[in-house]
Amino acid sequence: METSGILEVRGLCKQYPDFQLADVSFTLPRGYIMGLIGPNGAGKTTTLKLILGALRRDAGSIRAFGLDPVEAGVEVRSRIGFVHDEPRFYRSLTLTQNAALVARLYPSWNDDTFRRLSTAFELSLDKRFGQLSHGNKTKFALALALSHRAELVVLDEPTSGLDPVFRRDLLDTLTELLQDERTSILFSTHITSDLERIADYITLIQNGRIVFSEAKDRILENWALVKGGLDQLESLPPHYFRGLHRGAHGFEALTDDAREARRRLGDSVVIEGATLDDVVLYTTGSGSNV
Amino acid sequence: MTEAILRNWIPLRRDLILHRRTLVLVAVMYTAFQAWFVTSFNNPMVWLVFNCIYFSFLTVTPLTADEKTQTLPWLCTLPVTRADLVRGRYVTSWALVLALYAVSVALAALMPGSDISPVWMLGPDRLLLVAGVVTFIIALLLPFTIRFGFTGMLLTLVAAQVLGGVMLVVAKITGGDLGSGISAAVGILREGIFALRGSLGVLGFQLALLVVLFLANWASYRASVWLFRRREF
Repeated sequence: METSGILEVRGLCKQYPDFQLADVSFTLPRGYIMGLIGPNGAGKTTTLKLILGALRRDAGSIRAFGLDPVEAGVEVRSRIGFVHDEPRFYRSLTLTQNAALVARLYPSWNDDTFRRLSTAFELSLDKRFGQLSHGNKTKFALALALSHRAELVVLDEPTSGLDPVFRRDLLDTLTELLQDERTSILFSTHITSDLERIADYITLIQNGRIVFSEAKDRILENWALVKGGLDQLESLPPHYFRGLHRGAHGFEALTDDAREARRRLGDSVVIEGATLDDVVLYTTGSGSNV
Repeated sequence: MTEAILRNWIPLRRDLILHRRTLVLVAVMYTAFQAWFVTSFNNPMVWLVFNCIYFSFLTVTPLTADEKTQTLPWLCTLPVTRADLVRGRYVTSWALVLALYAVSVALAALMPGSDISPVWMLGPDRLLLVAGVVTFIIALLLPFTIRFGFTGMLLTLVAAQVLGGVMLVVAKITGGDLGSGISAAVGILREGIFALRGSLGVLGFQLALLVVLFLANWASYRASVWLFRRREF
């Protein structure tokens, strides 16, 4: 039985000798796009692989469509379309041959959709996979992932290596997918401008831990950049900001409560809306906290 | 039943498509080999044992392609279980061995002056010998190949070579006669088999051997699944 979210992750842990994914929790409701953001090595890909059951978790629970990917791996994966950050298929086979191998494994495979997407992505199906550029490899992986009526599309850095025109078209395609209100998308990226266009929820992960997982509009409403003189910092309690950069003449900082900052600091500082890029930069960057 | 056949056919077909070039190359090489063997040796028993060893290595080697193309992580995100992927390897190996055996018997019989008779080669005892030799190699190699890829297969073979080398050295140091020791061991095994055959009857012995070979393959398959499930990508 499906619970409230198409994907529910609770207290997920995975231990490596030099890295630990700790207590990762988030929920993706049906029919929405969630962006999973964070710096390289933060744990994004590990989280996605755990969701697919490609890695074994040490603790926590995952429910995709109400099912555990470890216990019901075949069913869960048949309802997921996945794109790797570095797509690898059989280099010596043509795209048609590669697709034919995959198609038989999905009961809901739609060859017309695959051909339509291949045409839209300007893929030559007679070409061998090994002859494709990185961008075209990603396009092929996307065409496969979107051709079996997946209810959950999981994309690991799909837009890196793609030209801006195709990136825009891809984002439009993903938005179109949501029109049926049954498909959800989990989209890992470090190109936050893509997420500002299409995401409904943002989950920020850093050093294997969730920093926040919230609705994008709420983040853009509450988080703000504060700019002011160094003397104004003296009156503030430690750790007042989520991130801070001190300059020679002033400071620039990130707050997660714009209303409270405006009430407290008034017109003595400049407060402006933060972009997702600002949020990532300040929460994961090298700026010292106050 | 249909579903089970289809589930095995999908990975088998995948592997056959994937290795079609290798298979064509092997077929051409093998035809040339048949001509050479028949004109040079023309000994049915040597032919049988040599071919079984040859087929087993041939079928295991191309199955490491997913390691070379680094496609295993992707395969593990498809709607198949790890057991399905492993079973595909076993089914492919056995299907290739059987196909190669049938084709090579026909080829060898067709060579002018050949002493290799298809009727003799397809007799129950010879088929059980084929199954025994192939089981010994495949059941030993596949778990290591599935867990460690081509390196695993090589390491297994190297380990066997090292073991042989160590035995030779030990025999030399202790003044033992390794050749006689091996002959004695083979003799004991042979006598044991004949005794068992005598007590069970020919048909009973053949059935028992078939069951043992099946169990050996099953145990190897289960070990491979266990090892493959422990791999993380």
